[in-house]
Amino acid sequence: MISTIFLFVFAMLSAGSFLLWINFVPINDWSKIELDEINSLWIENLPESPPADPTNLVADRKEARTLGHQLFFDQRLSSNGEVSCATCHDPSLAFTDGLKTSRAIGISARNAPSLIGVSYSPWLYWDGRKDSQWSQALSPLEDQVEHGGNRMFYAKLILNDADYRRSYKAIFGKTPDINDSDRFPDMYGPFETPENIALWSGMTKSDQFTISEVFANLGKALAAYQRLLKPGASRFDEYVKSLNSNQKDTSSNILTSQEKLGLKLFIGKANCTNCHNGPLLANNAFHNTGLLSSPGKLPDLGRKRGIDVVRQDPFNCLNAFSDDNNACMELLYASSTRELVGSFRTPSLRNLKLTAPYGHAGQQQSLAEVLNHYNEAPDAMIGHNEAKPLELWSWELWQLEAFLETLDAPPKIEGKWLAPPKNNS
Amino acid sequence: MLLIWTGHTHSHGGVVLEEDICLIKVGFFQAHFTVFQPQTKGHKQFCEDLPDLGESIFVLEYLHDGLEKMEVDFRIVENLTGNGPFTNQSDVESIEDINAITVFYQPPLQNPDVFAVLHDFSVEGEFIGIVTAKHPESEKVYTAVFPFEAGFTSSDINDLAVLFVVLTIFFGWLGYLAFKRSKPKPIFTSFILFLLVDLSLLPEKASAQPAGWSELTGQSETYAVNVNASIKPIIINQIHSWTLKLETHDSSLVEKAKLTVTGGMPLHDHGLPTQPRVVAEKEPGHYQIDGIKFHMRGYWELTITIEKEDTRETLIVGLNL
Repeated sequence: MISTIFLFVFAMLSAGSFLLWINFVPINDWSKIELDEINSLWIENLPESPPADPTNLVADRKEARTLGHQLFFDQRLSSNGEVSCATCHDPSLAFTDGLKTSRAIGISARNAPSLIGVSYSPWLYWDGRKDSQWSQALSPLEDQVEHGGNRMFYAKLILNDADYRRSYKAIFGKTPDINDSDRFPDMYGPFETPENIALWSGMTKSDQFTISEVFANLGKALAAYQRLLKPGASRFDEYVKSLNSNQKDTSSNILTSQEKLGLKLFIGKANCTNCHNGPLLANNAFHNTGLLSSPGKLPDLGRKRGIDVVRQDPFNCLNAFSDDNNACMELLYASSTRELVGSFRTPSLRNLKLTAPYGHAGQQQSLAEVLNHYNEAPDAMIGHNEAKPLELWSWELWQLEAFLETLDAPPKIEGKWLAPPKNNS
Repeated sequence: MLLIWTGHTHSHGGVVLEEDICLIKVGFFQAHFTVFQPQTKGHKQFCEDLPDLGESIFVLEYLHDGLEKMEVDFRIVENLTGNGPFTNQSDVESIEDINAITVFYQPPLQNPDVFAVLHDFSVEGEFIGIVTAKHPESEKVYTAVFPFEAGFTSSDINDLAVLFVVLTIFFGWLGYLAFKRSKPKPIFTSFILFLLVDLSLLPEKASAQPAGWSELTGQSETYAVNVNASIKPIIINQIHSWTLKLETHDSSLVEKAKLTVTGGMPLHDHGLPTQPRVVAEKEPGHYQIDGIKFHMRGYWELTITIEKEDTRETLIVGLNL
């Protein structure tokens, strides 16, 4: 009996000390290489302004931001009057919707990505099928399962609303007259319906251009607003700041030992920074990580299709609505090799906790699931999984998870931009 | 006409193909053919019999460029031939009304990036998969036939056998883990050491000092290049241009050469995220390359092929980011 009790106590003590060891073994010194790597992830190394977008002349204009802000929250920009951009990009969830795949007019095939920091990416969408933020903003508006409208509908909405018309004129200089319903027929529902295509092809090229230009300008205003959505400093960034100022005492309190061990893995043997690098913890490039297809769907080709789509896009950098056709190096030189089959854009890990579920179709509900997936790195259904099995112990995965949860922070922006504008219904 | 369905790993010869992927030959064209049941079996791959009913995704990846030019279709029929797993092409040819027993048909597709089809099996049974490829010009038709079962998860294995298998797998797995964790580490460490030593011989970190004319270089038998990058220092995730000064070893500039650029990370086994090109020879021997971008830190190599008159040489510019 006594020996049983002794054994039990011994086992409990061993288990306890093991748990303490894996969670509380202190990390006090980082090597020079590690410090360099940690600093490369620091938010202070993110340029204050997103890269200039010469294809959008109003990208950084105040009036355009204000108009974009109004448009972003306006549910009239949908065929049923109930969907705004904020429906799937909810500011309180770091501009995501918490769903596997988004729900608007219908159900989308992909997971709504966060918009915070997106203006630093040369490619938009999981598959990079858009090459500018303004051009991206146009797609959901005409998508039958998202806003479900069409460019004619939106152009008329903007130019027939006194407020919008005034702002539009102030920003873009001219407000075309589109009241002649013979030349500019009313169109209902998504742009790509046979009826709308027929109405559209009945218009003159120059009238088509007039409408598409108003539509493109709408995207440019929406982009101007979204360029404001920049990530704020998280607990991880506070830690780097104190590391850099050599305040050992404070820095040891900002992250727990477990979180620091996770950071060590993140920049070390877990290979995370291969793709999740730079201050956004994303290289915004395309990688196949072997995620499963969604129920009832074929495996998604990802970037392999995305690159073909963006090259054909009438609203891409090289086409008529772009304000600078000479600023298209990304589009001109993008790779389109077989390597891209099943690859998707690396998402930023900032605000990770708020932005579940994960994966291009929300395949993974929790961070633990994501980490297990990388630990195993199973074969991809199509193409090849670029990740290699990590062979980490389960407590190492817990440490990584703890670190990844230190990356949340409110966006670096005045609160008024995170709610519908006051004067908007 | 050659018709082979190789469902077993040992028939791959272990040369290029990964162990668990099946090889199919359509005529003399090769392709991988794997089946997934993602909703019930996750990432597991099957090449013959499918354990479950329900959603099954057949993925055909062409290993032979020839197949891309062909129209490929795919049909699943009930296997009523009575020959079970030994069903072959002639059995299929003797089927009178193939449409009557077809459970799934994917009409011809030409050159999809991936040939993938989804079929939801609702009843278990024996089936035959038939892949047909039609040559666009000669109209010649190549066929591959493979019999398989779906939903064969049997319930008649006795519990003791299951327990035995589970235990064997469990201990086998433990042993495997122990083996994996103990053995390869010293080799791995020495490999890393080797890499570190090796890396110390590589060019200095590009971000450590601004790139000027002399910093990034590469040499071949006849030529030497110097690189002047449009961003200094060169950093990851930013597209930019290089000006390449091409000289012979006695420092005379080389004009009107044809340069092609490829690149990648040798240690990661992947290429550049872009396809850089020479856009102009800005002044004699100075070539502008647009579209250069690196998306990971670490060691990168750009391979530059120089063609001039009838000669062709390749040189490598390495950089550590």
